[in-house]
Amino acid sequence: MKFDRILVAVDGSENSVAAVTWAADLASSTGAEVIAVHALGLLERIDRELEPSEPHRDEIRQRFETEWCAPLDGVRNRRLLRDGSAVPVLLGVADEEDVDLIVLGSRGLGGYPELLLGSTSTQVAQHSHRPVTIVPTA
Amino acid sequence: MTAAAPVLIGTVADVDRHDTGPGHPERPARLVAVERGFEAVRLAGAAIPLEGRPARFSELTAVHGEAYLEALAQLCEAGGGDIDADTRASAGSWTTALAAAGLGLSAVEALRRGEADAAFVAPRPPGHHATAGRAMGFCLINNVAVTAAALANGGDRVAIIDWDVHHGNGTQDIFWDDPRVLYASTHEWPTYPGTGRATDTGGPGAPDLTVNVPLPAGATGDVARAAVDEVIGPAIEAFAPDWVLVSAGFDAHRDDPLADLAWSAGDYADLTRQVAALAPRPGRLVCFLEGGYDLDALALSVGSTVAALAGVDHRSEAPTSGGPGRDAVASAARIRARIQGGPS
Repeated sequence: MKFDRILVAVDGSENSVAAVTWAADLASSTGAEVIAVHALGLLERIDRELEPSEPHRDEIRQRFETEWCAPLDGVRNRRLLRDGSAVPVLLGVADEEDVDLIVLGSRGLGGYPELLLGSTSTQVAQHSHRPVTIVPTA
Repeated sequence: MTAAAPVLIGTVADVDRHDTGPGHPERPARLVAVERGFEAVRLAGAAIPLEGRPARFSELTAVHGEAYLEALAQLCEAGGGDIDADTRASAGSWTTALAAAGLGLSAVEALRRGEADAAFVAPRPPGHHATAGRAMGFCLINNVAVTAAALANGGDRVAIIDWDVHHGNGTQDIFWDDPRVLYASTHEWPTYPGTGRATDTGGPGAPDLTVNVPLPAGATGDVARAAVDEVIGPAIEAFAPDWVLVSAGFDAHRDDPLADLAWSAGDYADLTRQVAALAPRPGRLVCFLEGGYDLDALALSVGSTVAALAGVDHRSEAPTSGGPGRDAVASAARIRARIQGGPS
């Protein structure tokens, strides 16, 4: 199988770090480009004290681009911060970029996997028409 | 001075069991702030309390998939949980959401009986981000869409104006290809949920019936008024609706923590007057609370809005002007002119 573009979902959780690391390993052995995507939700714009939003948005961008995506530093990659809810954002970018594979951590932030509504990873796996890899935390 | 016109007002405060957890901005205290805002019309003797009823399951399935609704009810029955990073359901969310979705339906029934000239309802949770099959952005059931669908299924043409600071992706999506419902929105861009480009103008079955006016951070009330005057108003007049419904979020207020527009309570009074003039006659206008997370700004803005519905001048804050965004309005107007002029 040929990999040109690999999308990896990034939310800063421990599982997402495992997914980013796995995607970086795959990219280094295949030469693929990694497209790291973070969906910026409503609550991330504030801290729980309801402080003004812009500095916090900048802080999230900073952490996404430097800390959460750090495992990608050795491979060809792009880091996209998109406004929206995780599932529609990830599926939308996958289509826009025509990626060959979507990589997610097994359980990120949010989601309720025991019920039909599902976590981000199960919903993406259910609705994607592209291959999806779900990476467990080691 | 002419007498104030009667306005129906209703919330789900008495039955609110939708618990979003500590620190969440979409919180029960919002409805207490709304009640403070209602004082503006109570003092004028124009307030008529609305007796709400829960929405029936069959009224929800006009908008949402059965599988989604059953999953949501099941999640609540199991005690609730996080649906996504923003959106949470608790044990009491399902019954609260039914009451919330029923408020607009009750308002329409009361207006049809001639009980008032307009209605302002405050459902919680809010609705305009909820799509046919997905809860998101604090929203579970799309309240305004449930009422619009009921009206459309009864043979009426419905215009929805959404002035919440966030684009109503759920409402747009639900009526994207429906020629009976026009959806028009002003919203900050870029921000959550990432939808609402001016070039998104409706599906093949409803061409030109989606109207988006995305506005830059810092846009003031004069820009919103221009968006209604120059883009949204003409589109609605051409559509000639039987009803006008408003997704009235108040998070475009300059004090709101979730967004960066710069409107004031006085701007909402002016916008309400503009929007009311687009209704075909008295008794055909219902406003639905959506967002608005600074409690004082919410109370002042709701007060200005309901007072304007009653024809009472009550502006606790002066209207704003001078911010950026006139070019965005002009651009949206050009896009619509190009559509209406056909391919060039």
